Amino acid sequence: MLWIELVRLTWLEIWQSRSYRIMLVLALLAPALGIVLGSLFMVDIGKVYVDAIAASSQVLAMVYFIFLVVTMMSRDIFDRICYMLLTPPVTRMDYYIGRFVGFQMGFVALLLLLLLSSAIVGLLYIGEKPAFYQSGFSPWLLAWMVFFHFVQYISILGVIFFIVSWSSGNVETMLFSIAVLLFAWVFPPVLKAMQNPDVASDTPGGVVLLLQWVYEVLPHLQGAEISLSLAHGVAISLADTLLYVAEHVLYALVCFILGLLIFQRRDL
Amino acid sequence: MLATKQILVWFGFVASVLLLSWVRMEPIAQYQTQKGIWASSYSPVMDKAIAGPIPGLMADFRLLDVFAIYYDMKYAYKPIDGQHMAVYLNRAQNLDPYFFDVYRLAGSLLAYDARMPEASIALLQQGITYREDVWEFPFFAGFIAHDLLEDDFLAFQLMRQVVGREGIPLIVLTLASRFLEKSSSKEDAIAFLEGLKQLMPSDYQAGIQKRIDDLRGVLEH
Repeated sequence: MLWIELVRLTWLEIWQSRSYRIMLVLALLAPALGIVLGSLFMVDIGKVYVDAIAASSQVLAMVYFIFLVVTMMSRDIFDRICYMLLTPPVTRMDYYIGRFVGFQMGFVALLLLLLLSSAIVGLLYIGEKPAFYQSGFSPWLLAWMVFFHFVQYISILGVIFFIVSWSSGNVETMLFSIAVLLFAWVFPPVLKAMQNPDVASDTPGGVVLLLQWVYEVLPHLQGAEISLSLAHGVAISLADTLLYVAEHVLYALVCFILGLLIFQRRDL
Repeated sequence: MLATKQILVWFGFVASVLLLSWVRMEPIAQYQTQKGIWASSYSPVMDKAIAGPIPGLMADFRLLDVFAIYYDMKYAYKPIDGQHMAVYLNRAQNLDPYFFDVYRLAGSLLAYDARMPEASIALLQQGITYREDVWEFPFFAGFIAHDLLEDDFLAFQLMRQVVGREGIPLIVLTLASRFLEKSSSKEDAIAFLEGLKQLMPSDYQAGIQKRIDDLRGVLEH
């Protein structure tokens, strides 16, 4: 169980980093954005507030994974910090699992702080308005939304661990991680557009097939669509929640195991 | 020991890939709002792609653009401003088709300040599909058709869609029947009144039934 020690170490490293503490402060301040935006609108104030929190959560998640996780993993491997950790009896598997769970813990702490601050401010700010302006706002919906964001980014962490296992430097890791995120957003609308008869008749069948294959390889990031539904007070069914969780956990597992297999054979 | 661990890792990998493929065959389609992408020529696909993980906030920003256009228009009306307002409302609708404010502004600012009743009705008609819980959109659309387009048959066709929705005030139904009397289609009139009758408590059905009987009498002769 040496990986548990590595989880603790990873958490301490994250906690000590100044950028993480700034992110925590931003998570505390995020509800202010919701209030400012909400005050600019006439009726759907609850919805606008939840939109602002959803956007803050997504932006914080991206900053956390791209600038903190990728940088720390790159530093570990390319600056050879992991030499200090990878000495017997610690195996590479312990190291990989410990780091993965540790980074997830850091992310959970960030999201919990965001949830806490936004739920308290939401209750005080939205809760006092008449029901007509609330558009179905409740702290439970916020918690539900944060949960969906958390699950979605398990896949992204898996992808990052896969990329780190074979990439040859810091810039390469960052480039590929950002590319995966960008492609995951851009592909669904583009593929949908290709189903339009006018576009489909002008596009060679091979190109469509190729794009569909690429899309199948990418993580399916549906958290944004789901938070949109939640912002309108529309609950998500249990079956869909289970499918969503299963998809992201399995995707992360596939990427993680593949990354681990490559990392175990890597010449450090 | 190491070999067993490796076998387990490989087994886990293959099992996860198979399970993931199976899970992905069940799309979480209910919450995807992509069907709106081609709903309007004003709504390019790139809007969705650029909005990426924050479509809700981007839709809010598009509405702030609409407010800015409205204030420009208030001081010096230019027809191009009306077209801009329609574009931005359609963009917001494309990003968040459930957004109530989009349809509210389409039924008020776009119709009466921007003077674009056709664009307003087109947007409200999309709202009728997305917000099945709301009776206001068919009502707004129908009223605009009557008031600005002076097309009572279209007004009736739009307003009849409120039948079956919850919390409809009686005035909506009265207005719809009035437009209906002016329009020429008696079969539609009977169908609408039958639907209306179902909504009313039994004590209040006599008048509607009499009107249905009258219309049936006109059709038979």
